Amino acid sequence: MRLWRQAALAAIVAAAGLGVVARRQAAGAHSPIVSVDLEHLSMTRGDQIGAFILEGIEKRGGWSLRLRAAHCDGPFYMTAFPISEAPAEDFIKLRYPAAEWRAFYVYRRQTYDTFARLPAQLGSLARRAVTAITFAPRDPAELRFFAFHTPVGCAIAPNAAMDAADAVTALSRLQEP
Amino acid sequence: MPTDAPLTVEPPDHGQWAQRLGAIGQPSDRLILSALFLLIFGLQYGARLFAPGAGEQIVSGFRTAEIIGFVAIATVLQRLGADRVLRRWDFATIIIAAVVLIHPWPRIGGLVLSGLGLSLMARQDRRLASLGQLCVGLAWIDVWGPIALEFVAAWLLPLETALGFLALAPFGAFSLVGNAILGESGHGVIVAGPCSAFANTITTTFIWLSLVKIQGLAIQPWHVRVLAISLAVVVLLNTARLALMAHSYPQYVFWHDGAGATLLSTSMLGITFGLFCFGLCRRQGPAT
Repeated sequence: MRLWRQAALAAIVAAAGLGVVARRQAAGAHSPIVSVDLEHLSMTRGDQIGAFILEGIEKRGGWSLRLRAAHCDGPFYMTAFPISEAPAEDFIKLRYPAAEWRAFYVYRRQTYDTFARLPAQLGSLARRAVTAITFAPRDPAELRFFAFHTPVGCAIAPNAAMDAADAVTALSRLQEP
Repeated sequence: MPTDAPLTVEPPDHGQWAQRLGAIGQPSDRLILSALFLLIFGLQYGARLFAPGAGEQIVSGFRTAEIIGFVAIATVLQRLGADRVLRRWDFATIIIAAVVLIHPWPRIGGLVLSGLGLSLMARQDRRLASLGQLCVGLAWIDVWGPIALEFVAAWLLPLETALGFLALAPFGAFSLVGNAILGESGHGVIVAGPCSAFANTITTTFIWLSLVKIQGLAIQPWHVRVLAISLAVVVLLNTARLALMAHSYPQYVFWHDGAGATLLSTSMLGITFGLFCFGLCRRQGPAT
């Protein structure tokens, strides 16, 4: 038992020194925290977001981009939600009545008619932990999913929606300090 | 200056040094556990004190509850005395924990405390079991609580919003939509995770556990009653805050972004401390 005691104490003392060194090294090499709020991205009216034109940024149960597609009469909305937070679903349903609006979702270059957030969140949590442990660069696309609300008469191609989501994610990357 | 006092030099006390070296050569359980918790405290919780520019990703937060927790751990360690309670498997766990703690991920301390806590909680020695409970409590504040909130928010937030809505009902015409309260004036609030009382209830429970462990080791029925009252107070205060924020925009600014937020957290901490001090000290049990 004496050896076990000495080994335990030696391990703790060694970990103290190595831990301080590791933290000093990591302090200079950490990847920055990426904001998921659209309001913090540098976008102005008239900017091209994928195949769409940005008309404005509004708060509609989350920060939403009011976008215009060439083939649609009215605007549609693209909202970013953190994958870690439950969106105000009832409030969103109130803002976008099903009789007038159609909803679909984009997360990690996949489109969904209904988005099951909890399984996606579990996967995201595991990937985020692996990223943190292996010091891999963080993927901003991991942190949020996009909800598209389009007028019933306005169909948006899934690829165009994914490209718009990629464009917003790329803006997040550009804004990393 | 002349002096009559004889000029003597104390000879070095070799016996004292030999005793200290002997303590390192044959470390007691208390010394090993103290060193381990000092390591966790220094690397994971105290790092912010010594490296203020290191950033949020490198060092995790440092708050009142954690300080009280480490005081409770120190108190329990004090009670260990010279007793030998650790087994071979415990030493192996401590060595693994020390190696894992070298990794600079801010949450690594929480994971180590979880593993260590679960292994100690299963022990029959009340002092070790108490250390385990405190470790798991710290891990809940740091890692598991925020993750749990992510998963229960979809059900919990509408419930808390409904409580806020009920408190607000006599003061005007408001409507409840899931986790949103909408007013006639057009002002409305959506209750998000950080506005929930969930994190505060975890912190309150941990402070309660720490104070109980500082006082003694066994949890008595009246301890649980004091905790229940404190949790009810925390939820009521947070409900009042939600109602005030939903009432009007100026109230929202004050209670969300202004001095109201600090006022509320200070009141919560003060009231729960008061409840714990009066409630737990009223019938002090033996420090077993």
